[in-house]
Amino acid sequence: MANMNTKHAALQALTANLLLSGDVVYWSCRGDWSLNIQDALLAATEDEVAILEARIPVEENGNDVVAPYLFPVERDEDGTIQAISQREVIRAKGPTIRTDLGKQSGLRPGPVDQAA
Amino acid sequence: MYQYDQFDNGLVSERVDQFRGQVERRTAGNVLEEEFRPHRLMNGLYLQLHAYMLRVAVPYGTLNGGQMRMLADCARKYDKGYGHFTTRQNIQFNWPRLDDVSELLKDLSEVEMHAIQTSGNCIRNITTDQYAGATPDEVEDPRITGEVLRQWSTFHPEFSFLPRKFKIAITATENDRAAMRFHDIGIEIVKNDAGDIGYAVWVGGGQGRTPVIAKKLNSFVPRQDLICYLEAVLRTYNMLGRRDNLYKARIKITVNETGVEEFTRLVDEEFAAVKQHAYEQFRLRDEEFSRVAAFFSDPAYESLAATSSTFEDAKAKDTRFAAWAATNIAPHKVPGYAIANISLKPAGGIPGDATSEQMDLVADLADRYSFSDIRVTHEQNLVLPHVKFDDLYALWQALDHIDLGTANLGLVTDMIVCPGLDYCNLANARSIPVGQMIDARFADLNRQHDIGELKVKISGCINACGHHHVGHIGILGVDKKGTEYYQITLGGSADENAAVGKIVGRAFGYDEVADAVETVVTTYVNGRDSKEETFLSYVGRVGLGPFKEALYGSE
Ligand code: SF4
Repeated sequence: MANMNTKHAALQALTANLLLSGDVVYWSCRGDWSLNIQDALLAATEDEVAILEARIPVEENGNDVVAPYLFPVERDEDGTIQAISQREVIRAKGPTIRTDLGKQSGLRPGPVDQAA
Repeated sequence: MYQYDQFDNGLVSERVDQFRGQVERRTAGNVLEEEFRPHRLMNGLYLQLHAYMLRVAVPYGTLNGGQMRMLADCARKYDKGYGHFTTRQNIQFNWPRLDDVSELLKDLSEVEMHAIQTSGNCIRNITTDQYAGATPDEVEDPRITGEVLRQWSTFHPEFSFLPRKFKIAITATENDRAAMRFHDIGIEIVKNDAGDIGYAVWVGGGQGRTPVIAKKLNSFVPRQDLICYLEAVLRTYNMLGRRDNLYKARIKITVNETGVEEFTRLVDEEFAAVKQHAYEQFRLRDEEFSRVAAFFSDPAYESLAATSSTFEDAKAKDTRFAAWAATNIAPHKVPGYAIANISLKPAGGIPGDATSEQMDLVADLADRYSFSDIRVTHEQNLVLPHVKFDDLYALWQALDHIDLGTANLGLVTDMIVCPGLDYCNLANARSIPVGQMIDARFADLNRQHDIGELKVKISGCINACGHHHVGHIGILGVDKKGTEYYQITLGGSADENAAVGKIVGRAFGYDEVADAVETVVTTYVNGRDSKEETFLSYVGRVGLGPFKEALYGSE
């Protein structure tokens, strides 16, 4: 999978919400779900996108997450992963009018603990 | 207020147990999301952008102190310390965990509350006038009919899978505070020449993608026939409603495609059939109506003078209270009492949001000053319907202490604002920060009072939960290639002079909306004949021309 340092609008990431908490999560390079968009595995080529896409039915048949889908992201010059649409920017951070809520209020890095 | 009987209690607690079992099976991996989702939704649990959202029904917008306290408690225990009151007189919790929802619902059931039929293609929570039972100009308390219809529509087997969701509103005054003409069915309680009370039934109103003002199908349905008539309307819709196209499935489209005359004929035919074959089952008997009405009898009002020197003195010495009294209280049917409106639109706040502490205090104040009676309004405010004039100052001081004493009811900052892209999975654009920018622009309360009545309503997408179509100034968020834009409409109205606003011109960018609204308001203030000419009358008189000119010039 791509690990590019240049801005690339065609990158795709896989997101969903955790079944129990509803938290927004991203399919990570480690092969599990992460709460942090910076952990997201990015797909650049058609093949990479197809592999990521193939994860969707697997997850839909499981009981870790709800409503998985791909969405476009880009990488900043410094390598930071940014969601492109306003919707995904807000999902990645939290409500813009309540910065004390959502991920922006204190991001727990790394793999998720469903019971947390 | 209505109190559950054994049947209601059994029904709600059974439902909690069923949902608990469904969640357990889902989390154990025994059912897939696809199978679980309809059950989740039938219990009012949506998945939004950041988390689950639970919508709790507030039947006809009425709560008692204990229920409000329980909502505060649930917000604290299972959510993030606040709730959001909606345009359907409900409350939403924005952050519950799936594995907490069964407990939350159990707690709610202890105060006779639930989330049943707050989602799905069924008859949703029935809404009504927030001044019900208190206002001097009503034919009778519309909550009685609301409760009768709640019982009729709850788990109605024939209407659990309608072509689309179905919303009913009831009013009993000429002054429509329930946006009755913008509901699938609007029921107007009326008195005929013989002095009998019955119902004018309006059908096919709605907002969303296609805003339509309801048509009056029947000017007088006798009380005993109401349920038969509604059965006939719903059956006709159930048979004809489009199930092939989500956007054409609401009854407003069915009425339009069938034609009002033909639809009326079909309803009348069905009405006759219901009366012929099932009258005993559906006839609304006087005894039953009286049984329900007894739950809504007047509280123990005191005999008071119509005027209060305590109230007058407080107004004279405290201008902030005087400003609040000028906008936030309404006449009561009993001398010495007033209806007190609590604005959930404090400066810089989020319209409709209330913290647990605020909910607790409102509950305490309702217990102390308003016979433990609280109403939720479709304009996202709260009401204490029976407050003595003598107590208004003390009430306002307590409210003011926790940011609930804002004197802006019906003014430019008393906006309806939907959750929009900050929370909602269906949104195209943010609503709340746009509302906040407008709020900041008109922060000067004297200026708001000078502008006068002005209803701004904002929706984050065409579903129109923020009622933008009927805003005097309506704002609709749209997405243009991933960027938020806002379309402005003028001249809409949700009251008895129902009107759909007209689009004024090209949409504005996120940073331009507050300027545009300010231009619209300034155009009105500079152009009005006098302060007596309201914004809506001015738009009616001059049309969109002066606004277009001011907003777009020679563009
Ligand atoms: S109008 Fe659209 S954005 Fe606003 S709450 Fe309704 S569905 Fe969501």
